[in-house]
Amino acid sequence: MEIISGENKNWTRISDRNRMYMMVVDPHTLFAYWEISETTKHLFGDHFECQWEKLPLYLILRDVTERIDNGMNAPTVRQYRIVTAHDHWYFRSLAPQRHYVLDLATTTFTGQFFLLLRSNVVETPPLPSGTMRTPNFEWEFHALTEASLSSNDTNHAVTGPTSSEDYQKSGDEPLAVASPLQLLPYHSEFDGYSIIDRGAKA
Amino acid sequence: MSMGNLAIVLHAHLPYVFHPASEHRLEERWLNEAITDTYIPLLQMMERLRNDKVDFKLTLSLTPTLLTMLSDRELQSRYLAHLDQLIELVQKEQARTKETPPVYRLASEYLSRFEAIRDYYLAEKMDLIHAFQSFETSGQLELITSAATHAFLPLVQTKEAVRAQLLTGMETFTQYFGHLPKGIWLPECGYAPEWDEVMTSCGIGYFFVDAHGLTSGDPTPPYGTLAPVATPSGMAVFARDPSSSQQVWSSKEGYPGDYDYREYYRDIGYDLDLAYIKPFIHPDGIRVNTGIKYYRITGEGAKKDWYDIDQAADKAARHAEHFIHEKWEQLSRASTSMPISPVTVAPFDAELFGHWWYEGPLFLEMLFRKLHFDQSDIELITPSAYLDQKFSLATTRLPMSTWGRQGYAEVWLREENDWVYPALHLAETQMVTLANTFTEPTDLEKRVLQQAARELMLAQSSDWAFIMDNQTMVEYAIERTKTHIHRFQSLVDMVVTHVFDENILQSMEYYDHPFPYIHYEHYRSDEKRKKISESANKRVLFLSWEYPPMTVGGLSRHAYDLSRFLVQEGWEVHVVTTAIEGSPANEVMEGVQVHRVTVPKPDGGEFIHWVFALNLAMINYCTEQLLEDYDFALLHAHDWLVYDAAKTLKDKSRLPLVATIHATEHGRNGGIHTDLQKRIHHVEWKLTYEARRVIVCSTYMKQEVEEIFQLPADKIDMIPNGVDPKQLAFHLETMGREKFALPHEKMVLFLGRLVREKGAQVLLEAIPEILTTNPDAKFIFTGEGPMKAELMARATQLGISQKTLFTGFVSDQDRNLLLGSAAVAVFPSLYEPFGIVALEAMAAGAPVVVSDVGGLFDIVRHEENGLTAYHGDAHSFAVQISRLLRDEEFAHRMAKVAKSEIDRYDWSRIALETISVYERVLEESSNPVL
Repeated sequence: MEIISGENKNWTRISDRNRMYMMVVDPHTLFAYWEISETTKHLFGDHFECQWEKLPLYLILRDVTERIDNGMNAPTVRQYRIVTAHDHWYFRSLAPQRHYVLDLATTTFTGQFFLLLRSNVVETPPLPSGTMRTPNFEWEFHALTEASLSSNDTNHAVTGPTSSEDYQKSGDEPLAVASPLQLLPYHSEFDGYSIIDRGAKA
Repeated sequence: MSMGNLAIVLHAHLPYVFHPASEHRLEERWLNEAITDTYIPLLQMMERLRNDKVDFKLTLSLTPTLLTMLSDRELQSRYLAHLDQLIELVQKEQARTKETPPVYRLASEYLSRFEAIRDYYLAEKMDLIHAFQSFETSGQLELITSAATHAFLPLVQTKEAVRAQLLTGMETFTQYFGHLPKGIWLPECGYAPEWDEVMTSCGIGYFFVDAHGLTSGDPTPPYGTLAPVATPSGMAVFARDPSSSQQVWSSKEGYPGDYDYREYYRDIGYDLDLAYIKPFIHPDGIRVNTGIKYYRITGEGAKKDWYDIDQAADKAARHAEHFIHEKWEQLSRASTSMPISPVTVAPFDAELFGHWWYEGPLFLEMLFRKLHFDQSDIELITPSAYLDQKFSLATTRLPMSTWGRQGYAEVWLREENDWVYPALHLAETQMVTLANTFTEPTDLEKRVLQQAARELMLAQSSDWAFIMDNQTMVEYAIERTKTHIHRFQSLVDMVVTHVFDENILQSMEYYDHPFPYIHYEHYRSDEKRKKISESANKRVLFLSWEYPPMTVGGLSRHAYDLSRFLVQEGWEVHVVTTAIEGSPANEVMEGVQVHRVTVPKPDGGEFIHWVFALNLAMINYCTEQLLEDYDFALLHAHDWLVYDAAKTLKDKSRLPLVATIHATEHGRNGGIHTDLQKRIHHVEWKLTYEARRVIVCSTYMKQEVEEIFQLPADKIDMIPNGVDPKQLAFHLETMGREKFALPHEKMVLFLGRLVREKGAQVLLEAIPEILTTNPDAKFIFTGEGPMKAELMARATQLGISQKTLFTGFVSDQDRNLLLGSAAVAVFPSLYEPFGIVALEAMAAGAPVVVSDVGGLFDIVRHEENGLTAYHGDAHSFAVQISRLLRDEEFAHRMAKVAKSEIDRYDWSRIALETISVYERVLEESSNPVL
């Protein structure tokens, strides 16, 4: 083609943005690409005290058909350990007519997933014949369940009013009210001022 | 009354292959060949039919890029030159083939054919668009449009870019034909349900999908492909009839593969000696198709027979007859079972007719003639005429589908071409941002934005990805994609940096100039994404991990009071905080604009990771929305929990950062003892380092941050916390005291978390001594905390559990009741950055005894407005508390002084002092010391 003077012919796809986008190829195939900004790489490196290139990365494809996904409650249908150089992926042999979302996650020192990027939700079309094929794969539950996450928290539920011996009750109205902390995740670990240091305890 | 309808739809499209600076681009031949082989033969066919009074109906989509090229004066004259050369070649061919009668006859046919084409072209003044329009005017032809550059819409990322493609297509059509098109040809029949609404909003009446795209709809369309359906947003959709496609498309069973038809792949451009043909092919000697072919398909072998025009014409007539018979059978079956008139839709690439299938236009002519003269059961119809009958259409949600191989996106999304989408999608997003940003561009900016829209659209042509899949001319497709993206990016750089290079812009306008009247504004978002143009002078962005109704520590209350009083003083405050169940993501609370971000899961399962996830969510929200929508004067971060967000946003926005340090990890823990504390301590240091100014709430805190962070004293501002007396309605709360104490008992009140630093244990140890002289005292400990059980056990051990009450959290009402009726409120903290609860006690009129630490020491002057005791010293507290219990008048006098001084901690004053800090920062930023 004509060259306009000074025109840059190098090809780079780096936008320095965080993005992950998933597209439908056909009823059984999805394609996703992603990119992580340098800022985010630094933030992750700082937080996890690890070079970006050495951070463990996972692609987690989840089936979110007919559910309000909170990031944890949908079955994982594919999970791959990838390296930081990967920037796109094809998922094949998926079930038609399902809604999927893709997460890129790292793991903490204790092996729990931490979300890095989440894609748009896409729907695989039905098969052309109009006949539905039942999903031919086993659901794999790799993600943490709600129950295992919240198990620590149950110890800290406010147990009701604590009264000493001459506590004079007027009626049955409890004196104590529910702690506003309960509305928050991790309220057993942080009271608004200090973190309970698990590491220090151990 | 007919039995059913047949709609023949041709889709005429070529990508924009105009290279104004070069006359010999191979790709430009695509246009010349299509004009010679298809467009003019179709026009000639229609003219013959009109002359013979044959009524016919045909639907034709002319894509915007094709219209642009057909109307270009330079391309028109280049085509004429091409045609002249072709005529010269065929004349030479007549001479060469004189001795071979069957070939000579063909050469002569070609000559008369090309001369007729030339005559037609000149008679129409080279304006083929007008020629097509004349058949529209006379009612035989329904013209429709397509997406601007034939973008494959299912793989476009943003609805704005979809809309720009569609509206530019509609407008280009209107520019040439003077009215809006009734329908559209979706490029590659690519439909995606997510674009249904935006398509409707562009005014599209109908479109076409492949058969499976309709039959697998939900609910299943009642009449299969033989009636249109309505999409959820109300457009009509016609399905491609699979049997018609099979008969015409299939290379094996289809008509075009018949042995009597002309063989496409034996062209004299390849067959004849290079020396002979050289003047008529590419100047570089690259052999090309000339369009002059002498063989018929014959059979599968390499040996081919001479083409026989009469035999081929006869075959075309027979195929037309066969086609009608097939349609008749199909429609007659359907008409008996359908309450509405069935319609078979047979859509094809226009260039199939004449270019690939030489006899295609003749087939169509025969089809139209036979339908007109020989029968009345099948009625030719256009989609809009069918829809005018107002049959009720079943509403169906259609899945994604295309007419490509396998029916979905595999042609346009595979290893060979998947690399284009990250670049295209990025450009779309940038274009949307530009359209949102530049609402009143200068003339030059407007030119740049229009050209950027052209370059983006040209890069989006589905043709490039198709060619990469097809493996021919791949280099050209790759180059086109990359070049348009590069040009787009350099235009973006121009408007963003305000460094314009008009020469480059002019070159681009010359090379890539479809759609002269393009509206870049079509990329603008529906939602109000226009940047608020008011001055950013008095707009601050607060970052606070907690904000009411979420109240965990004291920070929430502080951020709430400060922000609403800043609003009262004329500042606009946006608070970015954590989402909490039951509260909206965005709301205005007492004039403060609150933005609550959701922390996505999985979040690592520990608080420290959750905080990081919160910061990432804040960064995303602010960079993608808040900072896009508003200009801010500065950022104000509260405590270490929002450090990552504060630092990142400061770097991205280049706004000055103010930080309030409410407390330090060092102070809370009496030093730094663990790795985690070290980590938090370090983050706190970084926050004070990154901030232009650091606000603390007491002289004590000022000393502390100076010492532990080695912060220069002149970077720190001391602004005390405040109380809002209106929030404490004590006088109303007298009912219910009996819940806590007997009538004769004097209440000694501890308010605070049951943690070491708040010193409840100090008060507990002082109780036995106080009781010896004040047996009527009753000690109320409100609040929760990890020390609670330990404290209760100690009370039992000390034998004072009868005299102590641990209430846990209490309601605001009970809290006010306790403050209003306490004989003494005690604050025995070991560490207290400020001591807002002590202030509240004083505002409520409670006499106070406080530790000689932290902010408490700023607030309480011993024996003037309260008493102080040595921190951690139970005896000292026992002495001071006993003094107040013993001498109520003394206590009352001090409480009165304290209450009278409470104005000093008025939030309005604090807001004004904070504004002074802001103004100082802004002044320093506008006059940077270099």
